[in-house]
Amino acid sequence: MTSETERSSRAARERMAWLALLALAVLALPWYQVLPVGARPVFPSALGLAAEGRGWFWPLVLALPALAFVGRRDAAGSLFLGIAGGALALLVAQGFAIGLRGSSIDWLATLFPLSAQGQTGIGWGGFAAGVAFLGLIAHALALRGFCRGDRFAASAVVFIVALLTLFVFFPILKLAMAAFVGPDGQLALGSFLGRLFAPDLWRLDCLTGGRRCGVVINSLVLGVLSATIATALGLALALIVGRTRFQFKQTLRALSILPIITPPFVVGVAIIVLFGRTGLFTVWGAELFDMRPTRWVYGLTGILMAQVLAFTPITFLVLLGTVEAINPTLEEASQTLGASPVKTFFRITWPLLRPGVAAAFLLAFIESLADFGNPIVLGGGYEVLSTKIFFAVVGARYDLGNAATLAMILLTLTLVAFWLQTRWLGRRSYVTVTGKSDAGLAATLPHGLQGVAWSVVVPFVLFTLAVYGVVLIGGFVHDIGRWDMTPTIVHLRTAFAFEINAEGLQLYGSAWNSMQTTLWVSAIAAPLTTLVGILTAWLSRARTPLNSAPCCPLPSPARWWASVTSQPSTCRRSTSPARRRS
Amino acid sequence: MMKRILLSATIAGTLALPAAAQNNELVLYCSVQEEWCRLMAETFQRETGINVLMTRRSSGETYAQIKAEEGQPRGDVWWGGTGDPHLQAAQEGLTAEYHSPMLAELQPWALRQAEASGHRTVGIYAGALGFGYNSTMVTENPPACWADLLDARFDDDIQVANPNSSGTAYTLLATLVQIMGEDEAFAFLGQLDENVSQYTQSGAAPIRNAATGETAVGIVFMHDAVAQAVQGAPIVAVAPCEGTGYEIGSMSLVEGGPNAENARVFYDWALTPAAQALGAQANSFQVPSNVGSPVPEQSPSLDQITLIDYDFATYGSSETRQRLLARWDAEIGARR
Repeated sequence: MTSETERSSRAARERMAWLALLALAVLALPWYQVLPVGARPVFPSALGLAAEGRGWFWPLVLALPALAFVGRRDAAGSLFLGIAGGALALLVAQGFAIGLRGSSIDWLATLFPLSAQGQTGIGWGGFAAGVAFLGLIAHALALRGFCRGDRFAASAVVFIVALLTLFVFFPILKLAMAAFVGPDGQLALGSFLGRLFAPDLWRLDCLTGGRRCGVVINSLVLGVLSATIATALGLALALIVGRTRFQFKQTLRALSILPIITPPFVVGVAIIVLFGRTGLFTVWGAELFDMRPTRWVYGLTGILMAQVLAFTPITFLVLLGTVEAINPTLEEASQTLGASPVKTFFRITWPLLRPGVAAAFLLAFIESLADFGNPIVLGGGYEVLSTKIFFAVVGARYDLGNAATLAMILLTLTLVAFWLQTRWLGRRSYVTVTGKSDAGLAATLPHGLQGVAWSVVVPFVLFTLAVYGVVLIGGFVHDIGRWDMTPTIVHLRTAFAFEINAEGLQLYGSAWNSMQTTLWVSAIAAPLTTLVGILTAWLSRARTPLNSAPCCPLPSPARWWASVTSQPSTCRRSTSPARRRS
Repeated sequence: MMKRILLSATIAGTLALPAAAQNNELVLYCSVQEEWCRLMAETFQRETGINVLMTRRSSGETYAQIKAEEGQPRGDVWWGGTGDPHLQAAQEGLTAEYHSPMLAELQPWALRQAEASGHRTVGIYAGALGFGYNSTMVTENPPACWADLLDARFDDDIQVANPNSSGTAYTLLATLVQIMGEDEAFAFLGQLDENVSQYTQSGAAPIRNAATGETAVGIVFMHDAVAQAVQGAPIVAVAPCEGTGYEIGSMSLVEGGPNAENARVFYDWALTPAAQALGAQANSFQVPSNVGSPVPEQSPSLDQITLIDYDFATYGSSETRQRLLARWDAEIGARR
């Protein structure tokens, strides 16, 4: 009995906290980030704006006493939930209905003449009000038995669903609208189908010779080739680091992870310096064979080189996770029973590696589809979806509909690849169960395979070194693109120039701004991403300790989101199934 | 009681917020080359004490950004970049009307740009279209006319941007149509295509590639070719003998931008001779729009170039553009 009252008083306290936030939001905090031109409220909160004549704020303001009053009597009732839900809906609706240039809805404009002044983006007040309404909705839902009455879980679900709606579903919806709806606002299914099946997306002329293939085909060809090569290289590296007695493993490891942190444009330009028509290797090669230097690197070849360099670290990390997770006792047993190293590798090690290989392949494939920087620098006339989308929007012909259609195709391809990955790996169990500790001697790689692995790894390492050498030297010479190798620090000064004068420190360098922004964005994004990732993972996987029933039903897109967010993007070792030893 | 004290305390605390939100800032969207953008931002900041937050993007990108931010504009001034997207933004009401007191000092072509847009944009510089060649690769008989580019010796050695993605290349298309007539222009482009190694995405990329020897000839705005030459590249800029078109680089104020006051201060300042002289310092040799601005020595002088009477209204309009680009796609782009 006491625990019952204690629980209800704790619920009441929580409700008061949400209501206090709501009060702060609508009474005190400035609703807009910047006041609309012409607005002169006594006070810039929703209350002040409503009093000035922006009548559409009254329901939002009055929701506060209504929720406080109804909540005291029956916070679990439909009335409470209805008010909170309605207020949230109204908050969203008023933002869309009255834009910067006033309202396009006639009755709104007549009812509230001040709406003609328009609305700017919401500030702290609008944001806090939205959060408070969401909190109150979650509160009411929990009291009604949602998530077995667990208020924390209910809030987490409500907020994650809200985040998903705002940042995933809403943009996709806008995208779909741009694809299906013409510029005149009418449904234009015909032009959508026309764009979807346009021959410059799907044609296969490159197989028969002559013209180029369609962009979708180009993207797929690039994705498959790039993923295959990157996976093979990643496997070779992983086997050398995990299965040989090579001394400088740590160096090799560091070197191969280097490209993960380098922006793509830099690598692209370095590749041009090395392999472009006036590039170091092209000129050498042309002199060697007495040929005219060509632009061979532009196109599929160049993009492939850059992408393999960029994605091999990812496949390497995934596969190294898999290699290290294979229980050595199995291999030891195989060898003790008289199997040759080669046979052990192909009968024991390889089958256990397979899911990791699949995961690495699909990951590289998805990365390749999403890559924009390398195709733009090295693509030449080889168009892929990402560049085509970009130029559909920013080009001389502003064609949002076409961009949206292409983006939907890209999204579909990515989702299919992701679905294949989860399906492939989810079907079978690849866990090595022995019931004993992992003690045992890992089989070293058979000699023949070691040779193969080294023969691909050595060129890769040399290539990486060459590319980073160019980047490093290029920073300190006049113009490495023209082979003007006069040493200079002018680029450094351009980037990081500063001055200390009467007004204090003045940063004039071109890089300061972007550096500050980069640091800020990472500092804000990292904890938030981790938080949301952990929450979603907990909600979709965890079971409450008491009853081991699923804690809370998440909609399946949220599950998908959970599985995406709970994997840090750089180092997705958790995708390797052999790691899951639950 | 406690609650009431808390509430009044928070109200008092937040009263101070709106005052602090007004920053002495200017958000500048810049669409010329990075070096010039930076110099403009830096100098303006020094002279006025207004903190400039500058973003450099191509004019197409900036137009797309301003359109995307229509509901909540983040930028104040859009400075630089070819005139067509500025006119398009003006047409759609994305940019604000402003009659600067500096208008009286401008060249007639700059004013025509302002009048065509209902004073929502204004000309800040002009630059003629042409081409540049690498003089270490083309040593004899240098090309002087558009027609010379059809010569077989330039096989696989000419680059120009794709008109779908670049305003420069669209200016070429519109220029040739105005010089030759539409059918003849497409016939010419068809022959030129035999020599073109690559249609680049960015407008100025061909001349950069010519400077590094990746191609022999790049069709670009002449000031871009001059800029490469000034930096020491073996590039010679050519004004084609048949005549050529030009661009009017423009400036617009973003409608509903957060710092409207500062934006107008920048606008007036950017039209002064002193501000326009900064271009040459940043290796940009466009012809400035203020009558009093010094024309950089290296600038391709507009008096000595055969300029056509470029019809910005017709060739900047959406229909003509769509039609010409569609025809380019069908007759030239489809060959690749």
